[in-house]
Amino acid sequence: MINPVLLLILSATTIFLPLLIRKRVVFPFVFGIVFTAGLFVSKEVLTLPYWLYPYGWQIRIDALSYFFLVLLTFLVFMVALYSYSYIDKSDNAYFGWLGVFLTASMGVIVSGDFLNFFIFWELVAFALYSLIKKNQPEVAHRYFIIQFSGASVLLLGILLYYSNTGHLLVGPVPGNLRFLFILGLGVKGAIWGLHFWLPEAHTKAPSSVSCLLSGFVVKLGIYGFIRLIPDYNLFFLVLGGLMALYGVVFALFQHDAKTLLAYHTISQLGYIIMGLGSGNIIGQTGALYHLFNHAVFKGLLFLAVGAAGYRLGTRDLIKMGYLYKSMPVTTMTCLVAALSIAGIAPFNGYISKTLIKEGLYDINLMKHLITIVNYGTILSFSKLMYYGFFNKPEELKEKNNALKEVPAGMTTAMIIMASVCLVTGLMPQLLLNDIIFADISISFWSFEKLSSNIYTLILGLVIFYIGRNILRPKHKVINDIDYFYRSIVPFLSRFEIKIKSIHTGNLSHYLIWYVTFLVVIILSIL
Amino acid sequence: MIHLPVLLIIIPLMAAFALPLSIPVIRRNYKVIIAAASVIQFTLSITALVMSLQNPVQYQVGGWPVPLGITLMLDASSGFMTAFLSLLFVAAVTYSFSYIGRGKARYYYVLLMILWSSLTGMILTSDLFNLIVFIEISSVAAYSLVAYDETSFALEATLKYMILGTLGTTFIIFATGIIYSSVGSLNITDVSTQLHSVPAKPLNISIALYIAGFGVKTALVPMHTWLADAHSSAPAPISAILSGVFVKVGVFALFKLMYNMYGWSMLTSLGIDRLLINIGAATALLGGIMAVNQRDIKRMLAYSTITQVGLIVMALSLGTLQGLSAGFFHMFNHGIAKGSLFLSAGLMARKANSNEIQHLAGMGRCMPLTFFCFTVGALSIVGIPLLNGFLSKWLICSSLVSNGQITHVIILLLTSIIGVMYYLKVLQSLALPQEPEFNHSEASYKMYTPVVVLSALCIIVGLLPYIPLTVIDRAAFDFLNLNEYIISPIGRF
Repeated sequence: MINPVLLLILSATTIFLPLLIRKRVVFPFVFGIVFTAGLFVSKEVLTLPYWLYPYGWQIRIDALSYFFLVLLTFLVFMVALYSYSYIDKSDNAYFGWLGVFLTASMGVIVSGDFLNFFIFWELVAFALYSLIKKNQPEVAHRYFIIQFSGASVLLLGILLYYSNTGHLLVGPVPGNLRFLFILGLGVKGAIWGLHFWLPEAHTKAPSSVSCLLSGFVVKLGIYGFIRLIPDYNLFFLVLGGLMALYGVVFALFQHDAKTLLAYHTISQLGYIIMGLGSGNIIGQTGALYHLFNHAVFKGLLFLAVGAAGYRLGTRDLIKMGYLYKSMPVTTMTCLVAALSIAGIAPFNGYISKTLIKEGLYDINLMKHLITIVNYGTILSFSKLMYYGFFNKPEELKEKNNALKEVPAGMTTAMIIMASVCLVTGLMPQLLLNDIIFADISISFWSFEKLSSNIYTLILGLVIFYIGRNILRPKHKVINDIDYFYRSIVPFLSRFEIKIKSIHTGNLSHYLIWYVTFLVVIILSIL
Repeated sequence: MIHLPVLLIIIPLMAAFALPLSIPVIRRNYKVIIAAASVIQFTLSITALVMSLQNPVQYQVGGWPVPLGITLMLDASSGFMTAFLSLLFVAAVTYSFSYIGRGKARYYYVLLMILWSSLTGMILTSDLFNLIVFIEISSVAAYSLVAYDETSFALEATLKYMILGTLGTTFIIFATGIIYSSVGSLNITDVSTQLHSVPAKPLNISIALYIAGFGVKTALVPMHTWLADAHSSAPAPISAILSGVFVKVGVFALFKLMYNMYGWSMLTSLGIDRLLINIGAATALLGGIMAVNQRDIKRMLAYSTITQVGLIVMALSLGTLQGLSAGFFHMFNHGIAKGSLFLSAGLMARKANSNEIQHLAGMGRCMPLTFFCFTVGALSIVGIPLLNGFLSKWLICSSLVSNGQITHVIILLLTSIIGVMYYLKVLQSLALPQEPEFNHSEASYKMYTPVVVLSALCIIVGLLPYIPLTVIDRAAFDFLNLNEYIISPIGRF
């Protein structure tokens, strides 16, 4: 068993790797070591008194932390492997920031006190800012401001929690502070209404970073929900249902492959939140299982689309196609991930969606909603696979046929993740017993379930075939809720200009201000 | 060591006078005097801090007893301020040795030393008239230093600063006059024991005059209008000092009067605490709004100073020990971070030969170390965790929350968000791919050493806050209980 402190130190060393070593081959190995260490970390509670002395740091690793820890280290390992080939050769600092991300996220997960929880919460956003900044400074800037604002709301919540309870231990928050915590956590977790940053950030970030964002960072919000707001079922049910439907509808009509995936993140988060809101152990286990699966298959989808973009130079579904011959590994892994996300047996999405459905067995509305969303998912991923990889547009045939498969680092990462999709689908007990520590017995492989699963797939494909012209990718701007938020900006800047125009620079004006102010104070005191 | 408090004032003053006198003898080596005085003063300040932590020292200048003579009080709070002042001054002096051209440099050092001496005096003195004298000296030195570059912009800024600053001093003199005519004493402790005999109206007017007067010195809204011009047109080390400590010494002196002369309970009954905390909030918010979209990097930093002073005033006007120590901690953190920001911005601006942010684009690639220091300072002021600014903002927030001032916490968080907006914009612009016209080289090590030291302090204090926090907690405690240390006056004149 490995001491949590040792694990933290190990992951912190990855920050300084690019300064010490020039050979890039080493980096993925080190992240692999962190993953292995993460698997064998001991579950304990301990305090580091000398961290930020006199404040200290309570480290708490329980089953939930362990689950997230495994997920995090695995995902970062995969991303490091992928980035070995994907990221520009001159940019080794990227791996340092990846290390910052790893350490900060780990800090959030293991912190048992709110001070350090918050510190690392904010550092996660900063690490991502630095990872995105290089290519897309504007996007990174917006992302960080939004996350910083969310963290500020969280900070307010934490301070009020402290003044209410008198301690800073991470635990369920009192009911009157729920609102602040939902807002604060929700900005990172991209709940509906606060999700407006997500499509842009996921689309424009490097694909490896999109994989982290969608695979893990939004899950931190869910982690916060599980830890801090564990019993708010009705809210979560409504929110989850709304997000699942909203995401899938918006995803259907996107033409950029990564935007499509980004909206699907919202949709799948909706599934997870619905599972949390089910209020029973099966649904909640399903939520955790789906959280893990989503990290793997959505991460894989981002990586595969990124791989296609790496060779093709575009992720626009209009310009993609004909890749299955030239890039078979990318196509096959992407297909596995698409089948997983659509919940098709025997891939892992099938297991978690079955669990969530079982968890919501007594709420008919939700069951119908899930069915609808599932068809939407099948449709949008048929669209992605068909227009992205299998379509044969004549004008692109020459060009796309001549492409080569992506380098080894990228294919290795994608193949590993695809096999995880298959393994956790075929052997659900592996994840349920050893990582999630849930003791439930449901048979996943009854004839009834499997046949309805295949029926759904076939029906979905038929609907896609009929409606393929409606779903054909088109250049069309679809306004999301951010349209509303953006409309506030002119007001703010007008206000700023107004304030600035008061400062005339004229000395006599200023003298009048000063004396008036004095008179006002005197009058107010007297 | 018994004369330590007065030595702290005298040494820089002596250096200032010795410099012009010795020029005929030592000619171009006059920097030796400045360097020696700085080293001695810095050592003495640290000694003073250590001494004051054990036992507060009361010093009667010339041996005259309390109501007659001038009292210098070296308690933990003034010891802390003195040490903090010396730290930034040493950094600025070291930096100036290479930054300031030979031409009129001796005048510059004379003024700098006078500024150092008078600011120390403002911190240490417990005498109202002496306070005015030091305020006036420091202001005159600051006016002249702002105008040092003699550009038209600097001269205009100085003129405004001088006229508005003089108005502020006038307010303070009026207030002191009111106090003296009604109490007949100038010693702060002595006055505080006899305030009950003063009629309410003149007393209240004197409070208002002090707030307005020090408000000008510390740039509280709406009396902040001189600061951005003055701080942005001064030479970089002077900007660092003005922003880093000068305004804070004003805040310190104002609150020393508020807490120790008037007594906080009396001010609370008059509603002054509400007034001050609201002024602080307005200052913080307005500074933030003004800093957005500034084209001049130093102007942006100056407005950011206004914001931070607002936060400090908010924390100090809570009237609790927790609020005081949070405010002092933020003073210190903002001082070192802003010092490092101004000094590194000065290096970059000198290289690009412009203060405009768009002309500085790409500087980060040319001067990676300077850029790193700038980044540390910026992130610290914004309040990114694991840097010192985060801790003091956290402390300010938690002391505000424990007093139930939720609105003010929201304002603080809002200013941080605005701060992220404009600081990150500058950082991004600095980190743009390199412009071909600049060659890849750092400034000389003499100039970047103080910058590196200040930014390193930001990181160290952020990670190991124990020592500064202990000192500051003690300082806040002494500040709140200062009157109990002062030996009560025996006879009256």
